[in-house]
Amino acid sequence: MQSTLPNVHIEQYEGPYDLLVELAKKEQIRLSEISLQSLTDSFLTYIKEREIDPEIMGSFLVVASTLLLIKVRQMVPSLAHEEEEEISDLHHRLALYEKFRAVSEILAARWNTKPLLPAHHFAEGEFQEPGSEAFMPNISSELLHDALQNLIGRIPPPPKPSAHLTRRGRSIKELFAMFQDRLDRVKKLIFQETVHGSSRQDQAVSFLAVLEMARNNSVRLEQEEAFSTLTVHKI
Amino acid sequence: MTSLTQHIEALLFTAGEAVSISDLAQLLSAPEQDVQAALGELAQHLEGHALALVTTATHAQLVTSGSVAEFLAQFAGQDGKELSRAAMETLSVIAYRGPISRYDIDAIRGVDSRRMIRQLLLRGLLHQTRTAAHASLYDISEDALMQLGITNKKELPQFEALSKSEHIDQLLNSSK
Repeated sequence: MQSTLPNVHIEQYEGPYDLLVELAKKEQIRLSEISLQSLTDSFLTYIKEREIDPEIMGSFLVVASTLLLIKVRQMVPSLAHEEEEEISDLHHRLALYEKFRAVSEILAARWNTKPLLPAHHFAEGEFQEPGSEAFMPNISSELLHDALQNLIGRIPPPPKPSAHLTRRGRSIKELFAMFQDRLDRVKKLIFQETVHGSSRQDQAVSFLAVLEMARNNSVRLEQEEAFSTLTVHKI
Repeated sequence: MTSLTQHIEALLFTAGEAVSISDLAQLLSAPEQDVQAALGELAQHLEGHALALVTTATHAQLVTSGSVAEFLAQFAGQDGKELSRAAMETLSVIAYRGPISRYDIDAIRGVDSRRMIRQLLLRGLLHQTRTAAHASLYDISEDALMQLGITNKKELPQFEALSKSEHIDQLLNSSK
């Protein structure tokens, strides 16, 4: 199911308050104790549909329960005085959160634009250049010679040139047709038996052909466990 | 400038990095209170200079001042040290409310902030104070203030309103 929040471009909400503030913005309402309940459905939809980090899921649920409580109160007016505190508490917390969120946006815009710099700020960069002394501990020409010898010794000998050309394998189209043809006759076959004796490349392409057929819903694949017999059923 | 102030300036200059106020007090055999006062004098003395004093509750550092920040920025290049929105939000809460416990940070943000705090600590943007009896307390570091281009957190926008609000204190206390 597609999300009901198509216009929100933030990839992940940082927490339940963050989500509520964004929802309110989107629906162009001011957050108040009354308006909160109109956000309940969108809030619940969001937490149902997204994968929320389990580490922070709990905090989403706490807020969800308060939102539900507000909704229940509206539907059952006799409960109007129940849990009043919890609801106004959420409202106050959201108001406070919004203040910090606002200054955090100001600070984000300022971040790293005109930093105050410490002593050696520029010199540090120079010292970290590779090739400075720290990166060249006691290098001698003997050491380099030995290292090179060692490296050459580890290079594997080149493979003998092969005298024959590789046979061109059969195309996926050919193998697809071959499987279709056989299945028309036998209705079911064992993959391993069918490809037995053909080249490794043909076996691999056959497998792709069978996968393609399964994707088309023209066959059903059955395998008890990994690497065991693969049965191809015609549908 | 008193000689204590001069000595502090000399130590901070030669250190080239943040020095804790308790270290300064020890090096100078002076009470921390006097060091704090001398730091105030030094900050005042530096006004109008290209150097400034960044101070947090626990540390002090000599840095280039805001008046030359734009001039220097052209040589500094962008080092891509961006902060995620959640990290900046967490840092803001700590900047205004620090020293603050994780519990209170979570209460304001409405969500578990452990991972954000870890990230900020790793990047040197926070100071952590561990006390035997209480949970760790977090406060903004000189590095973070410098990135924001300010020498003290009191220069943050709406600092008074957000740092010393009875309303906030009440709200935080009510969740305990």
